[in-house]
Amino acid sequence: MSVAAWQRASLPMLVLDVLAVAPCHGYGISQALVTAGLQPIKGAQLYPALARLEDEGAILAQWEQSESGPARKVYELTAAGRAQRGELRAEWDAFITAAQAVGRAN
Amino acid sequence: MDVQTWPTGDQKWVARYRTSIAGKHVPAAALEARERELLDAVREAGLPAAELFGDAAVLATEDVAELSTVDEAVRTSEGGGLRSALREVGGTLVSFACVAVLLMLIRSGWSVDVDVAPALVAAGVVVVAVGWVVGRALFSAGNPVAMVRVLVAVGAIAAGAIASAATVGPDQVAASDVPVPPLGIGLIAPGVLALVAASRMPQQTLREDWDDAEWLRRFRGGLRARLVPAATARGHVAEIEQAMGSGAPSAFAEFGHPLVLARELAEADRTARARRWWVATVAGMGTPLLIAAVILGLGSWEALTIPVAALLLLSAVITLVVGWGERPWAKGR
Repeated sequence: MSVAAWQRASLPMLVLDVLAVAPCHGYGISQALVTAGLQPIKGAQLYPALARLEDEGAILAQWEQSESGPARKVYELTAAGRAQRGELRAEWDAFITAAQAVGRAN
Repeated sequence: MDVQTWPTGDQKWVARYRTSIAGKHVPAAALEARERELLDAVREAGLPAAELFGDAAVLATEDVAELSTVDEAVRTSEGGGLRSALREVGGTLVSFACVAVLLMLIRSGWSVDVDVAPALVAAGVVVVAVGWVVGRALFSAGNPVAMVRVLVAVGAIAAGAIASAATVGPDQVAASDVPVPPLGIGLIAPGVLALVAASRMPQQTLREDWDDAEWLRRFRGGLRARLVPAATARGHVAEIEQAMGSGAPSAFAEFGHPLVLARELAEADRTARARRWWVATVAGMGTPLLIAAVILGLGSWEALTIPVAALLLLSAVITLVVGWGERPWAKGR
């Protein structure tokens, strides 16, 4: 499995992680992932993931007027999103712990 | 993969697996690879497929969840290209022809007088039905302007046919004592030809050459075709434009096929899901009820009027029951 595939599978959690720091627009989320050392994420994956999270009530989207250019859609985490992030993080940590245990056993 | 490749005892199981997975948007290559994987496992274990994997339909449902793609859904569904439109046109023509032949047999026996006026009206109805199919395909493909053009054209043709029928009057006969079997074959043949042509067409591939303006037009059209509210669709388009302004090389390179993205975003939109449910349920119930009312009003099926109307009513009830089970506000995502 490639890094990109791992990234795609864990994208909702990664998006919630980025938004837990501060509200952000779509391109900003993508940039934050790259800055953290992950691969650039295509809009074809990012925007459907954002729409699904918004539909689930995990994030909220609002248009914000920019001083220098057109309005930008900015996403922020909701209380439900914080809870969802906690659950996803716990599942991820449990998975990593188990996978490392398997690796050590071999 | 040829079903004969499988052990004889497993061929029924494979056929059931294939039937259960057909039309669920699993790409052919992925299905082929999955079947090869299953066959290898059967050979290695030396056990029947049913014993190794359990019920074929259950496994197929799990595999659909894993292997189906939105690209495949767009490629094979209405609006995915000429093949799907031609298949639906063929189905419509065959249905109309079968009903016409049945009515002729019931009302006139094995030979019939072909009156000019009813024939013109029937031709007008067929043109409208085919135009409706083509128009819907264009709408689903995110091309509402072409859809309007097609609907206006078929409307004009149908109006012309009805006007001609009114001019000709009811007594003019085009042909007398025409035997129904060859006439029936002649009526059914165009639809069958369209279905055969559709089945022989190569698998559609999704277009890859888009300029950004056209990509955005089709994206907006795709969202509206999936019944996303206008304001939400405008928001998605503006967001894509905003992202493109941040340095995306091209809309296609960054976002893929416009209808695929539109479909994914529409799936995540609660209002669009509810709207699609209402349209499907109301149309699925309303159409058979309307036809039943017409049949009962005209008594056109003579002795079969009540059974045919009852079947249509049953179809409407089944649509309601199935639709109620699928209602979006009672389903979790």
